[in-house]
Amino acid sequence: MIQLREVTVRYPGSSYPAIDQLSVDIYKEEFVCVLGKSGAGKSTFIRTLNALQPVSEGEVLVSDQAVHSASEKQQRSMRMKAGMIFQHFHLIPRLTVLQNVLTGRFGQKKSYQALLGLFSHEEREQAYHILRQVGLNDMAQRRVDALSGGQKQRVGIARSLMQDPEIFLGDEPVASLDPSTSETIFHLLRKIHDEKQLLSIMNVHDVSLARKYASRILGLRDGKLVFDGGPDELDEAAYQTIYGA
Amino acid sequence: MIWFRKRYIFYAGFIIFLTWWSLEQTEFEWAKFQQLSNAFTFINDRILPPDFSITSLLLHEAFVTLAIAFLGTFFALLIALPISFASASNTCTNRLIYTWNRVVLSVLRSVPEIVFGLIFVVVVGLSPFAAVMAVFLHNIGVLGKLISELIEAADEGPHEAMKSVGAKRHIASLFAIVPQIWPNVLSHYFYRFEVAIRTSLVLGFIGGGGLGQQLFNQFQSINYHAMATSIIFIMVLVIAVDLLGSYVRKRVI
Repeated sequence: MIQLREVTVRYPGSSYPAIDQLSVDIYKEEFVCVLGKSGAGKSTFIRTLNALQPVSEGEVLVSDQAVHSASEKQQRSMRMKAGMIFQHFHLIPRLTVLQNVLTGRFGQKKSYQALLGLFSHEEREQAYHILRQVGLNDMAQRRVDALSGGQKQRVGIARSLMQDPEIFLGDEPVASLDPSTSETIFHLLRKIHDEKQLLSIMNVHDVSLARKYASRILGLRDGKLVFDGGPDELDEAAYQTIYGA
Repeated sequence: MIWFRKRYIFYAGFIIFLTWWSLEQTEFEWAKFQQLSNAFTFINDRILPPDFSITSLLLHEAFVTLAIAFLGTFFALLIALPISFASASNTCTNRLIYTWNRVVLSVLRSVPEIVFGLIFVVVVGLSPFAAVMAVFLHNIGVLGKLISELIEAADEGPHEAMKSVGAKRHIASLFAIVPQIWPNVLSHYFYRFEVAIRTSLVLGFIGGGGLGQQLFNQFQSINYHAMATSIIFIMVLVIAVDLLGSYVRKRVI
């Protein structure tokens, strides 16, 4: 369970807060899609959840543990349980698919193990298993630079699954993919979410994807929560509150 | 004339003045170009043909030059890599350490190899070792600056991804940044290696050994035919390192 308690995020030099006194509870097994215009605070919101973005006021609790007042070590162990995927995939260039997937384990590795790439037989087997799950069976030894956008995002998903996550975060995971690939990726995300009974939060631009796959939709506008409901509650009026002029 | 702005006239005037001033300072005389044909006569009559009887000696000296350039730049790379992480604004959060490292690198860079060479020739004696030290110290400064700028220009994305999997800070930096900058690091390294070959020749003039010292001795003893052979060796060496560099870069990218 994730709880936000009056969270405010201010960027230095900006007069308006990116996130403004936001409070919300998100529960296990919810597949939440966050909607909002560009600059509404979606990305900031999702980054506060694993402390990639510090908060100015308020607190984020993950499984009743305060994220932002935690020590660096505690924050790392919280991040381990939260897999995250990104719009631009953020894979390590020049490494292979398998190597990239195994970096998902870095949180649990000692420095020398990470440095030398010492992974157990079980970890390798798990990586291959995950690659089959995301549909990249024969790609393990390919370099990630050579993959298509959809394949890269599958590697991103595989890397986050390698963390054995309880939480699944996505910052615009399909915004740089074509519509049909976006659909397949969201289908995969939802399938993984259901199988592993995760808590998933995905930022999206595409309202129809949110309507189709989300169990709950949050609407952000100017850093404030302006909509919170099921996909069937997202009517024209709600749409206007989120996106309207 | 929409491309032209009034201030361009000022720039042009300034450049013309600078050129005139430099001509004055360097005692530049157009008339002297007439004497250039003497250079061809000199090369033709006095330098050519090369004296190949000293090939085996020069071969040995060429390897000394190669070793000076390689050792000096390779050790510099080993030291510069970690230092550049501590001198890049995105991987070194402590402003004090960052500024200190930047200053140290600037100082190392601002001292030319020949000056380091003169110092070490006195300190450790006339030997290739003095040349290695000179190349080494100067190149820590150069490679440290170049690599830290590569680090600063690296895409932040993979770094964020590594943080989000819970990786320790230095592991996150290493894995997110090194694969991104590696081809450019090699590129800079091979360029510095090539430059070091030429530098070590000059260091040979002050007693740093290798082809440079041979060249200088031959020049001093007016043995121009032997000098021609040395020059051929130098050209082959520089071209070989350049070719090796482009081959490695192609393999790595």
